Amino acid sequence: MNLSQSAQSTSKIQLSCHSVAAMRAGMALTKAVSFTIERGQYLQLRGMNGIGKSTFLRQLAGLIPCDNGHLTLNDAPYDPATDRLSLKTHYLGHRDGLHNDLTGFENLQLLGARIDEQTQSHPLYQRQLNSYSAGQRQRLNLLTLSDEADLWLLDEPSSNLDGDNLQFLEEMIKAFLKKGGIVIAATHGDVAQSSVTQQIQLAPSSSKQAPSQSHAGGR
Amino acid sequence: MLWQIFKRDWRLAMRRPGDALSYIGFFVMIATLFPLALGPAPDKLALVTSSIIWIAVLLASIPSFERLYAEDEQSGFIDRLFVSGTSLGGYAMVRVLSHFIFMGGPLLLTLPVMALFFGIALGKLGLLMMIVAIGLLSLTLLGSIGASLTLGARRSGILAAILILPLAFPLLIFGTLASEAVLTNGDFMPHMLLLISAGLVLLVISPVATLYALRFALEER
Repeated sequence: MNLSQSAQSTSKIQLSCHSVAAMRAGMALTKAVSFTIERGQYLQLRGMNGIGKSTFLRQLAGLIPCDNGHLTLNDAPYDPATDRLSLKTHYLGHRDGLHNDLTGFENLQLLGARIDEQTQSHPLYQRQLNSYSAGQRQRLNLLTLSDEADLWLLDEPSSNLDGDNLQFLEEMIKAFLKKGGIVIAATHGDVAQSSVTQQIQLAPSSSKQAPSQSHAGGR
Repeated sequence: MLWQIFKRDWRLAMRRPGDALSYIGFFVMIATLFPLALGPAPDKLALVTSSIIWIAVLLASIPSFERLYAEDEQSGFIDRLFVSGTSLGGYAMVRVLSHFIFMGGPLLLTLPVMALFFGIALGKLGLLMMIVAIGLLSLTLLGSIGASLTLGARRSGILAAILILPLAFPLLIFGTLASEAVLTNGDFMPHMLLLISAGLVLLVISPVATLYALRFALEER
């Protein structure tokens, strides 16, 4: 939301995730996964409903601590909850943080989105959000993403979008990747499939009763 | 960003005047109950006027604190603030300030009406309003802790009230004594300074406590 620190597309970014599992209340929901992702790459998280995709993304965003496994940024330990400046992250969750009693325009302004004149004058954005359809709301949610970030964490970004808006989302992702951004998205459907560089299928933890034994990769 | 949030709160307060109106309404109702129960004898009322005002402020305010963070937490706005690196302590203080201005402000403006009600001399009104304002700001800082700690809990309003009320005793005691002194032409300074010092302690504790409580609420999601 703070646009003053713009990403330097020349600097190297290598985010690695070392055997991190989605954890809820001390229990591993998924098998631990490891991956490394760099500028311009797009990682897609797949898995059935309730497997822990959202939890996993919240861990990457620093909203939930990564208790098992660890993250590194350019080979240095990285804690997304405290280290905000080294990796500018935008997180788009199910709960979108938009306010029902504000107009679309006011919401964008509050969240520091860059607004062009066309958006500003559009009658839709002069209306309060409680009159929006789910798809219109999601489209507004997408507009809050800034390409000045380094990393986008997208949780079901295509939900409720129609064909045109899905195309809009895909173009946004492609443009961001081209600019050197990193995208990690949890999706069920296909979103910008041609740009996907990695795909991870989250699998349920084999022994849900004893999560601590099921992961070798601790801190 | 914090200024943007304050502007949003301002806008929302204008757009939803019902919040402040119901708060004031509740305050006036509680204060009205006392003369009805005690009987209209002015000498009897004069003894307890400042106590009535303070108890009414306390009781009316506590349910209103529930709204400090619940809406933003449910919508996911606090998630966004956290991920974008905005200080949650700063955010909490903006919320406290806008609650004090947009809810507490209108309440303070009803005090002149209350003064007519209880036969308070208009000359003493300014001082009385100032003392109530200090108490209300301190109370909001306290309410911020209670509201953030009980985020996501069921019946969080009642839980927050039980948490906050015992901690509000010093504010109630110093506030009542100071206003009593104003009404009886006594020396109100010592009591008011104690009230201010209690407020300053809260000013130090509240942002930190709220920050950790909000942080904890995010992890629970």
